[in-house]
Amino acid sequence: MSTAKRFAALVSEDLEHIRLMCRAIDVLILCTEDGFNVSSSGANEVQINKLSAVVSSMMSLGESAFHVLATNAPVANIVIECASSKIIIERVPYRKTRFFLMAKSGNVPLGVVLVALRQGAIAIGKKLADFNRSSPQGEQA
Amino acid sequence: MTTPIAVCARNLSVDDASLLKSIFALRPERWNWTVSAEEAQWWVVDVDTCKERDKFPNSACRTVLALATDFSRMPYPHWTFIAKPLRSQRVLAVLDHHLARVSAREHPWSNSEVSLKRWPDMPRFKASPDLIYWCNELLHQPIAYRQLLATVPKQALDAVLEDAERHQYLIRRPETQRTTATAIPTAWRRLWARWTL
Amino acid sequence: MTEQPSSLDPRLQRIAFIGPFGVGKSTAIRTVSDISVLGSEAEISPHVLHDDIASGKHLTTVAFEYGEIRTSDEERFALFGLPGQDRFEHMWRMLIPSTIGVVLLLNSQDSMDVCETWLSRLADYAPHGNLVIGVTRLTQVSEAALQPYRALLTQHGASGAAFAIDPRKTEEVRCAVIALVAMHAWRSRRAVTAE
Repeated sequence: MSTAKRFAALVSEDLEHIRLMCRAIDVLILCTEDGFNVSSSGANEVQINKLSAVVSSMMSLGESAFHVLATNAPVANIVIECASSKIIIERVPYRKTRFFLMAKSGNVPLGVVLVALRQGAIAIGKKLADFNRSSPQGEQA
Repeated sequence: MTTPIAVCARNLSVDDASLLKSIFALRPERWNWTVSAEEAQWWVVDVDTCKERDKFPNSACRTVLALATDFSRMPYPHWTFIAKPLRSQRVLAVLDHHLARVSAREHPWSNSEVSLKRWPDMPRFKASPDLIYWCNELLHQPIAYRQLLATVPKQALDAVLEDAERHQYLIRRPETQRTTATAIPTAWRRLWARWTL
Repeated sequence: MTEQPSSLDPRLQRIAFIGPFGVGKSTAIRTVSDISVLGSEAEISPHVLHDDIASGKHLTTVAFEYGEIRTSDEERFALFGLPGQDRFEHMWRMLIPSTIGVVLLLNSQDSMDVCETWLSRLADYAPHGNLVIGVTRLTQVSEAALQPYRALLTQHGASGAAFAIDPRKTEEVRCAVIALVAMHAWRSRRAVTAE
């Protein structure tokens, strides 16, 4: 099994756990900073690839907006709301390669989704660190 | 060129007039500085100190060098803008351009109109915005060579047209009554002012 | 490609720079921009995580790069450098229709299939638009080197120019920009005349 698939399998249970914590979340995407999908739940093949790229663009544009305003910290999250849904993108806390976790939910309080997503992101970050410690040098994420 | 060229300086300050005469004297041509605007083939006008446009009738049949602090003050598109304060290099370049047009009368393309079948490789010719403007126009209509020469340096224009002829993307035929090129719009020149000065 | 840019500021016209990864889009924009270029680059993730081709670069554009040319006190052009990878197609859809023209940079070392692919892609977003193909990394600039690109333009029914461009050279990138503006101005005049 390729490294990518092994890693995807590893985090898939975290994605399912997030959806259990907040049943209003119906789509989850974990992607890399440069727009590649790592793992997903609730989306089809076409959606996950497009969403991964869009998420990376959005987080980058968010940082650009702060950069214009002379603030250079990495963006922690982005929230987009419409009448009946919300999309939240959360940065996975990890020292090396950057990952983003995106959730789409129905119309529930924002805090509920944020808590579930943030806890999930922390758990995934820890798994990343463990994964890299146990992988050969050339196969680290 | 042995016949003196009659030049009339209008509205110039004493210092500018003196400086210009010195620069003109660097050329091999002979210049006859005259107070009679009607007799002069060339005018040098300080636009900044002019009051009305209609003080210059019949400027179209003359070579007019317009000194101004700002390009936007140019009253006519066929006048040649020279920024103040005067710089000898700029004045000499302008003289080169206008005097080259005289020798164009003997050029084989003098009575031709030209058009292009495709874009030349403009970066190779270090093309100015004006030359690029004309190349685009030439893709859509034939233009008389002498009309092109009125607005772009002969050397640059000939380099492009000779390349086009060599690589068979130039269409050249005797000049007809149909060719009616307008001057390069002032707005175009103003647009690229920072890139050409 | 629309005749009017979508920007509310009628003086701010847009030009897009597109092309394969690593061809010199960012370099070209930085070469001519009068402002410091706003980038949107991301670290390229380790290639073990995906099937994309490993490259020598460590950064890639994931949204767009933004620069400006200020040719006069009143006139400005916004330059957008767009990512070339298929997965960022949404940025193309968002930006290309609002531009007055596109500079397509291509590496002369790549096969003509790459040019063919790009022209096909571009047709979806800017059919019959203003286009300059800038061929980079030519070891020797010649008509013969540019001729295949011109032939493909004709084949695709695209009017446009093919220039040899070094993205590091200001005057060469400027030629491409000025040519696009000339094309756009001519189309606008023709549209007004036709009305």
